[in-house]
Amino acid sequence: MTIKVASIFEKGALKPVWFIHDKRKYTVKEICYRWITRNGVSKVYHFAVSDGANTFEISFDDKEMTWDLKEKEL
Amino acid sequence: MGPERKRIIVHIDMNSYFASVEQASDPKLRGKPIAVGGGIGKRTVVATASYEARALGVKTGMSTWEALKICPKLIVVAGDMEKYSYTSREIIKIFRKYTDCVEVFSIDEAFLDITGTADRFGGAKALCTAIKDEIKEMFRLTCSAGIASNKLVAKLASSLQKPDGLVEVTEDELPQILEFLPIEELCGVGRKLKKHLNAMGIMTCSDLGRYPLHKLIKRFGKVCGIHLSNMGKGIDHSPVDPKNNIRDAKSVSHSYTLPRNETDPEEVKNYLLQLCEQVGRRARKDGYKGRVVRIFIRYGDFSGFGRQKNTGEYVDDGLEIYKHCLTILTPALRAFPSPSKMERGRRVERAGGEDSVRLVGVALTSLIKDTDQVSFIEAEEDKKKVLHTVDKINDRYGEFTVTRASIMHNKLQQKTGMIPRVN
Repeated sequence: MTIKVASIFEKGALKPVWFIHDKRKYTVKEICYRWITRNGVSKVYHFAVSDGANTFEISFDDKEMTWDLKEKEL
Repeated sequence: MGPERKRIIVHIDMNSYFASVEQASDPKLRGKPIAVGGGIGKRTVVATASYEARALGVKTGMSTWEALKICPKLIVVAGDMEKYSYTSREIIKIFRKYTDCVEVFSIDEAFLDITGTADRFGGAKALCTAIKDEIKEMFRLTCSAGIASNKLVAKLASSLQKPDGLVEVTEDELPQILEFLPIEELCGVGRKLKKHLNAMGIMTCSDLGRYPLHKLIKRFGKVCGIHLSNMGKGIDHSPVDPKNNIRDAKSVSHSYTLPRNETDPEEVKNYLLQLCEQVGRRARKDGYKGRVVRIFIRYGDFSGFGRQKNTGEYVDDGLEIYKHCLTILTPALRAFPSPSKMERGRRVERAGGEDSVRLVGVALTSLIKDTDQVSFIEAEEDKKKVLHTVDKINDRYGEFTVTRASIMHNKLQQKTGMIPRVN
């Protein structure tokens, strides 16, 4: 699902800082993992992030210019 | 002319790779028994288990339900091949900072020939430590490194200390290591070969090394016999091959256990087309064409069949492979539920599941290296150009970026598992 994310560029890399999900604001305390995939022409930047309590996977599509939140399958 | 310089070969093996990537991605999984597979509630197996899970008896290849029975606290995580492939490509880039002679052996293993570069980094052990530290810092992942004068022993060395190991095996130490090492620890000795060797009284590597060469040649042929004898002595002259040219494939195959037993023949054919496309893609990627197409089907009651066909010409096009598969599949496939078994439009499956298909597999064999001969038939040349263009797009933008419309939404596409190539 598409979400609102605030991010910065630091040392040449994209870094999410906080995001809104289900009307709640989550501050990113740790970027646990990063990886990049392709979706056609889009480059999708994936981040596994933690707010200290929960882990989320959010991703940025550089062609659509949208951030998505992925539900984790456990 | 001086004596030939002894090689310095490194084998790097990522520890419990998929599980380690998932633990690095989620702090809540760290230190816990986890298994990476197709997800819970499906017919899946454990692709990798974390060391914590292995300590509790969970093994790779075990079915998920069996793993949960042994370890009720096991956390099963759905695999993410794109994440692992990306990580693998980045790790290979790290290797290439230390030597350009890197042979990618699998998604989580590689050989490095550092003969010419080790001195620049303070020696082999220092070089390996630098690689391990860089991987740990970038990805929070550990690996085991083995150092030796050839690939066979380097791979053996890396298996001696897990996780996060660094082992160098010198020529002086080698006989002691081979003395009691079970024969199946050698790369290339699988279950069937182990059985044959054990039946000959060969239990350990040193048994193999001491076994009379003429008897090995008599049993396995000259090439294999000499190869086995050398393996038993820890001898391996094969070079680290960055282009993976040397390994000659005997076949290219893909199989898939369907998410649920399938009674719709069109769905089965859909999966078959997908698998044929994957086989064709891999054959073209590795530069092969094949002349024999083989399919195998397993039914819901675990019976099954396999059939093969000589296509009469060498093929590498997924659609051509599929057409040949259909000519052997259609008459051989059991009839799906007859109209009399339909109740109000719903198919009725027999209790044993023998009317349904559980697994589909395709193989292309009798391979030759593609010599890229120009065809005189314009349509053939046009088809080759289309395939080549599609391959280039998929190489650049990801697998199945361009694919056949009928299989666009096939779930198989997420599970390619191909070894990543670094551009």
